[in-house]
Amino acid sequence: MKKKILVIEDNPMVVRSLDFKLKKEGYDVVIAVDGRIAVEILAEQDFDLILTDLMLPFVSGNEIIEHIKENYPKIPIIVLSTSTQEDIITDAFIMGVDDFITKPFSPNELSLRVKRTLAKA
Amino acid sequence: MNTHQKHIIFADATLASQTAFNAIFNSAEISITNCNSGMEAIQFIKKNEKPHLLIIEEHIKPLGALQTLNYLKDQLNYTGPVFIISESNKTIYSDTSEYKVITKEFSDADLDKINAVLKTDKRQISTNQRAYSLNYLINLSDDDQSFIFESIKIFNESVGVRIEEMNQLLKEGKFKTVRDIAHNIKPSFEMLENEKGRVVCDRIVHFAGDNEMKDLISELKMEFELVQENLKKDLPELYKEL
Repeated sequence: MKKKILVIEDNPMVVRSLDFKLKKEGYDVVIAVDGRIAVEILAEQDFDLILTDLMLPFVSGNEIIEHIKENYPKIPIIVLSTSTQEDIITDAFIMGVDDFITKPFSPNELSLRVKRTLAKA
Repeated sequence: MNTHQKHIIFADATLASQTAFNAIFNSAEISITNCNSGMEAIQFIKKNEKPHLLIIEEHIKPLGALQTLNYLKDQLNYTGPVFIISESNKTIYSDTSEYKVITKEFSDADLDKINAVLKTDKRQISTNQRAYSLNYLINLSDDDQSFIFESIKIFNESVGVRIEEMNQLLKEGKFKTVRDIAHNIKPSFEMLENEKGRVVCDRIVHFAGDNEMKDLISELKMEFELVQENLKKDLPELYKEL
């Protein structure tokens, strides 16, 4: 069965690229363009992995991570960050995220990190 | 196309190749018709005036360059100048003709050959002078043209709107939100490998004082418009669809 990934990201070019690449790799992909939508989708569907931005409209990335860790602790999380967010990434790791990918992502790196995180889960 | 313009038919289905060639030659003095197949080139020549130069990729679908050129010669009496794009650097022979070869890198030697035919003086534009590059999107998608076009469309539709939003928020004194938007659109510039857009976004997010924002947003807007202009010039077919 296909693994299902929730992508929480609000830059439309990044969203389209992640959707394209992950579907090409054979995953089911669901997109949430802000934190509120993500919370709603998570209440309705099961996921094998979550990729999330940290700076999101309405609900911040950290709040989303807290929400996931509290309510869906078994779903691994990969954070999508920009290269200048070291402090925020460190905080995210302290909160228990599994990995991070820098935007714009390297296609091979995305592929490897997603596979590795899913394999560990 | 005006009457003084030289016209090139560029038949190569790879978007990267079309973009690179257009970036060098598309100008007021030269118009380029990009063809994604040999058949498209045949149809164009059938219906329009013969070009000043035909450039065709060796393995172009469906017939390959040589058979396409044989058809053009036998059926449409086309005998104008031709270059075949090939990895080999040798002249390619058919039963009745010989064709000079250029490479996909469009080296100085290749440009000299083209300039000699067109009597122009075009030179390779170095990557750091270019407002954008599609290399990232090409690499990400294995040159999937519909994905690349869609991404460009998203860039055009989303970034301009967000820059306008930044201007509006600046008037309202909402500096943090302006910074958040700069953070949000930075990857869009990065995906088109636009260095200046990335740097200006970083300055807005991390370094600029509130009083510097107005100028930086103007700079970002100008860079966005420059990318759009270049894309429009290099990929006119795409903009017809938009």
